[in-house]
Amino acid sequence: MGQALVEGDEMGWSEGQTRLIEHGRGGLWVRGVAGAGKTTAAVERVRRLLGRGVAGHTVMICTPQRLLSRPYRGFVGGAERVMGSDPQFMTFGRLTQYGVGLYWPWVAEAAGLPTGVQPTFLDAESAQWLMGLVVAPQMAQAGIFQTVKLPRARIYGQVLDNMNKAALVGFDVHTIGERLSRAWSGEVSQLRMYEDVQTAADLFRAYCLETGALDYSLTVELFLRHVWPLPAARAHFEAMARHMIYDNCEEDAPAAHHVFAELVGTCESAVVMLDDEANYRRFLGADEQSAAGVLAEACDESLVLEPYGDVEARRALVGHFAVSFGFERGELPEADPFVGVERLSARLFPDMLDRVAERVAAWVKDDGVPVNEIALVSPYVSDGLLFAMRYRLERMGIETRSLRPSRMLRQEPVVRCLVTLAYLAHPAWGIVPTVEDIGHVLVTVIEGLDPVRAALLASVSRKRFSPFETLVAAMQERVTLALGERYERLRRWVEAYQQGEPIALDHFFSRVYAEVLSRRGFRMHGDFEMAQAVAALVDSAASYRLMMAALPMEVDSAVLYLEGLSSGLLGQRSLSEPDVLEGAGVLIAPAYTFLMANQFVTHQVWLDAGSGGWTERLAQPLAHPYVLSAQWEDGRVWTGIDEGLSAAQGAYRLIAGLLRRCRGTVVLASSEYGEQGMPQQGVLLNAFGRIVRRVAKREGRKTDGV
Amino acid sequence: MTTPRSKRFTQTNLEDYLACAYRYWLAHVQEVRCPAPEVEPLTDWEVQTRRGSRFHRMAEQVVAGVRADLLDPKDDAILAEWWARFKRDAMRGLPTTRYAEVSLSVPFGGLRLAAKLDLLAVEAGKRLVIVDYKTNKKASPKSLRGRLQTQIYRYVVARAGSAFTGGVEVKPEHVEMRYWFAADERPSVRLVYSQAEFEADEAELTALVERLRAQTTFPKTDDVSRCGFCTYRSVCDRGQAGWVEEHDAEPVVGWGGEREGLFGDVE
Repeated sequence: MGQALVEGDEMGWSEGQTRLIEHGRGGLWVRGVAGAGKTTAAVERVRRLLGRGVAGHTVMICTPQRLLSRPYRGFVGGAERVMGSDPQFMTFGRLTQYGVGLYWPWVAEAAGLPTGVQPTFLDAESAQWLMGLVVAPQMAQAGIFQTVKLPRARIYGQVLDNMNKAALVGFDVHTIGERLSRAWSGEVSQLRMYEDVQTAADLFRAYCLETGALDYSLTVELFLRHVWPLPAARAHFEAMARHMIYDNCEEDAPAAHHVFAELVGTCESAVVMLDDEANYRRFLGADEQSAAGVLAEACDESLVLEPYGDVEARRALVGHFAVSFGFERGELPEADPFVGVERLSARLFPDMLDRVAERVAAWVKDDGVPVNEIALVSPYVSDGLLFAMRYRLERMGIETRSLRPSRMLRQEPVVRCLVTLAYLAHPAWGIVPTVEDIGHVLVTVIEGLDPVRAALLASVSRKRFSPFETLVAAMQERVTLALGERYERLRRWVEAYQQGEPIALDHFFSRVYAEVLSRRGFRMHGDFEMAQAVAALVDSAASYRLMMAALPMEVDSAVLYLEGLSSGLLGQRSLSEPDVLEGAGVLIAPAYTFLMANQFVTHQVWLDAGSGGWTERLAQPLAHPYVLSAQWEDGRVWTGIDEGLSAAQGAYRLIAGLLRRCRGTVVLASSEYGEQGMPQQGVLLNAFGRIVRRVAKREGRKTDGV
Repeated sequence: MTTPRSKRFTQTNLEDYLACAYRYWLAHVQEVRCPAPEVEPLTDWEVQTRRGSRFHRMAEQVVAGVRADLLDPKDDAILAEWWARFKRDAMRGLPTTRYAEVSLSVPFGGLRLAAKLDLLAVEAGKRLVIVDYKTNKKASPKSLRGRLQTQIYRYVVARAGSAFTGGVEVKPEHVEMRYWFAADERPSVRLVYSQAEFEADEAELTALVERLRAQTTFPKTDDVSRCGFCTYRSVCDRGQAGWVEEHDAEPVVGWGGEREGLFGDVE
């Protein structure tokens, strides 16, 4: 690979950044840790490419997930960009689905899939649900997974994860069980589970091939086998990628690296960037070693960007953590690693939250720090933690926003209410809601109705909507005529509905919302937050219905959907706040989600720093991100040493990633007892304690422990 | 804030603004979704929009190199009829360099003015033909010339179309908009552009955007007949859903442009 020296730019770009921005023909391989300015320079590169007349539709900006393309989208959507066609934003998932859809007639024929029908792409939720339908009979008859004590959604989810890895890593989907078994050294009973995993994967794949239902793994396989080799398809994609930016390639899997590397080889210019010490999506098949091999090889030149504006102390603390987790030996950084680091400890979890709120308030109110410059991160953000933290901050007049991957629809009160209404309106389904459920409906939807009177109305209506006029006069008076009239509007709507033919469930939700629940006199009138939840429910039910209609399944779609919703197999739609990263407020997020959003802030609080969650791998007894990766030597046994090393590496990278995204103060906040009341002393605090002792020893001081 | 959260002025958000300022504010500034039926009967509307969307995707497939006869629909007689018509004459007389589902935008009024085209057929230095497939029978040829869509598409292509000509200058006279009707035998409507129309469009669009930006309140329209096709009608407590036969909206097409619609949260 060639090296070229370029003078620094008058705009303040470093020499390395200037080289990235002005890179000419061929591929440039760039690596550096977070904060080195790679993305900032790449956005500038896009600006200059378009500015000098490169057509936008020939520029492809690839990222492993949509969130990571945010800086590019900000520029592309802005008024400062020159006129022209828009660049293409691409993820590997999007590319494969687009390609398979576009060239479907050829794909279906070549793969022996049903021709003459449209492909049915399954999202994660639909795939999980369909797998349940296909595998459940085997669970009942052959007893598969009978030894697994996990919710069904998690069983199916892990089988699908394994299938996705087969496609993304490039091994046969029928060898998942063997691979997992060969690496297993524990109790023999686990081997039966791996056999069951394979049975489920085989059954599901056979079903998909028979019906043309395409889950992510099959879509990727079809793309690689039947779309990518097509000359017409290749020409089409190459025309879309005359100039490429591929950012955060370490968060993609080997299949993506191979495809994008081939595009790098044919485009006029490409800049491919890797974040060192990241690879946070390993559990989804992300593989930095594959990236560094395949993509670096496809490029003609290479460049390493050093972090700029990186304070010596921060670098020192990252170095100390590396030593604490056993990754580096030798000279320790000289600088004081504790500059800009605070410890905040409390006995009980709520006390810790109180103290965190006070610290945040001091930043905002005393120091004038903008709320957007503060992030509170934790390994997990439960509903309870989110509510408790929000309540404390908002009581102090401090806005908050949250970034969480997804939330179950069934947890929304308004969704529960609409489900009960659906049962009430369809007595033929034979499911009679409880008095409590009806009371919940009434108090949720009728403006002005309190829980006591709602319970009263529900109890006298004897599990059905009795007419208000049939209630005794004293009861009518207690409820009041005004509220009784609202109750009657809803009751009459349901009654009228029952006179006609039943309609699709999503249509039912949509109509009852539009014709009653969002009208004046009902709580949903003008409540846009509730509207969002209903919209998500309507979308989920509609997409389920359309999927079922496209597949040869003779089942009562509506009742099954509602069962799936209540069991948690369906309805996992994201209800995230729109544009949460654009909004104002202290950000509350799970640590990995924060890293994958690539946010840089002035101050961070690490909530619940004593929790074991900072270092624990996601519990996946039926899957394995390391064994089912391209780097694993098939047949090797996964040992406790491997487990310890991977946990330490994961923890170090998480901590280093967070530290590099903090410009000011990091607060390690912990409590002796955690959210669930258990004593807390996780690996993160132990590692920090070792650093404190090491530094004290170097300086000849004594410590009282941490 | 009075401008769209998407930071783009488009045919859709400007049409909404003209129809009802409150609808514009809810849909494009607040980005509130209202899960009410757009029109009734819901099933008919769903069939119509899905068919229209599938037709647009098939047209895109042809431009991407798939033989049109491989796409003959066997499960939908109406779509098969549309497709036979497409194969017969949709591409007749068009330049042979073709781009499907292209997104173009120009800086405008402090944001961007964007157009998403079904097809752009290009003969550099001579012609840029914008093709818009109409799958709704309601679209009246007479009304097309005055449509905001016609104004925005031709104006944006005249300004930004050189992205598709290898940099060769595009003059308004090179631009033509062609509405092609899938649902019946009406001949295409061809609307050739001119420098005078370009200047008039620029003035009108500028005035429209300035008016929008100066708006401090977003009142509901006085014309309640429009509320029948607005999903926010219950927010305003106004009437019932209108009928599908009277609705002239085109389906929203997934898979195209930035390739966001179809794939949802696929990563």
